[in-house]
Amino acid sequence: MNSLFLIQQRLRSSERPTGLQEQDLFTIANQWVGNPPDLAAKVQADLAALRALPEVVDAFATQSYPLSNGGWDDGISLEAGDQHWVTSGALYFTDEHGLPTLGLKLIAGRNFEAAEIAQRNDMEGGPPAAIIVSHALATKLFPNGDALGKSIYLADYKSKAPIVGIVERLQQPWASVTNQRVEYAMLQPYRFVEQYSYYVVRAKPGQIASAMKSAEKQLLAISRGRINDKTRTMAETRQRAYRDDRGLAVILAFVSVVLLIVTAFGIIGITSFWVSQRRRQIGIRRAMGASRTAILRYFQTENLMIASAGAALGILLALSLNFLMAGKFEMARLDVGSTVVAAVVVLLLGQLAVLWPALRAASISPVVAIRNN
Amino acid sequence: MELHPILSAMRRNKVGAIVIVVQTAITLAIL
Repeated sequence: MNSLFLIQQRLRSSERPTGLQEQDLFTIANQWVGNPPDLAAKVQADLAALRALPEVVDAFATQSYPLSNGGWDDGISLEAGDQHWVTSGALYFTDEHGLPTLGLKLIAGRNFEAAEIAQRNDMEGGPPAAIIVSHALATKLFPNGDALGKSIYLADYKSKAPIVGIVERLQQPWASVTNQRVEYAMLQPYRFVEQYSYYVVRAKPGQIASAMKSAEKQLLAISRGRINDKTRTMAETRQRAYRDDRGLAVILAFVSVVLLIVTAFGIIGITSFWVSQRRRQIGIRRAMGASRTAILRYFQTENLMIASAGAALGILLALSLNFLMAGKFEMARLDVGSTVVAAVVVLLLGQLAVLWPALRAASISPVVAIRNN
Repeated sequence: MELHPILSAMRRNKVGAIVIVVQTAITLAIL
């Protein structure tokens, strides 16, 4: 049941919502060739051109985005100079177009205002003038639910920044983060100007394919001094982010099936041996008036009893295995659901495996009783 | 269904029964 549980967990985590309007979003990785001096103007020109496309709703430039598996995070404390962070959160740079592009649901406060937005690159940038946090992060930092308007201290800047907005959901860039931490994320009001950045573009509903083509064509028309690789829909990004998890689930499922087959053959082998060992007794029982069904039921009940004992022992074994793994790795505790499912599967497997030898036993003729060999 | 004859038959074939119990248990734990 540990494999079943792992498979179930992996598949569940690959369906976690990011908070984004994923079906209409795509990203373009944009890398300028050389180091153009007017980078800021070039990025703004690109974004203006993307926003002007007929299939596009909005766009912004950033250093990271959910499920991209690469990004930044920063420690957060509530007092100036406090070295003990309350927690840390992933950060995304965005201008006022970020919120509408991503389709994040603002549940309190407001979007960034133009005056709050500063320019920054990988290395340099002043402290953020404002912060938008996810609801999960807001609740972690201010459990009383009064995060809006409060200020937080970011380890990178040593100065405070006010929380001006709270979004319902915003996921971190890393797919492997546990459920508990995966939504600790925030937006910071920067125009990200760097040689390598991502353009996140929101297409009009149902027009994502043509929007992607137009966007790539448009960017090349503006300047050919760039490399636009990895133009991906959010759906593709999600699939890539969880590819390893899916692979692991498939391998575990395969191993589990092989294990079930081996166990089934083990049961078939031993029961067949018992049937041939007891041929004479079975023949005598048949001669004394036991029906074929009675013989069949005999072996089925026998297997049920043995398999039940095995299941009980197995549950103990699985729980201790899970206990060990939970202590050593970051693994969740087994749930009752997969325990029950695994126990039922094993009992059914036993019944299925015993059917063939039991039917053979039931077909033993009463004549065997009087045969003398 | 009488369980008594099954139990006494199992008592005589302890090894086989134990093998199936252990195999089932390991399968369940890993599965």
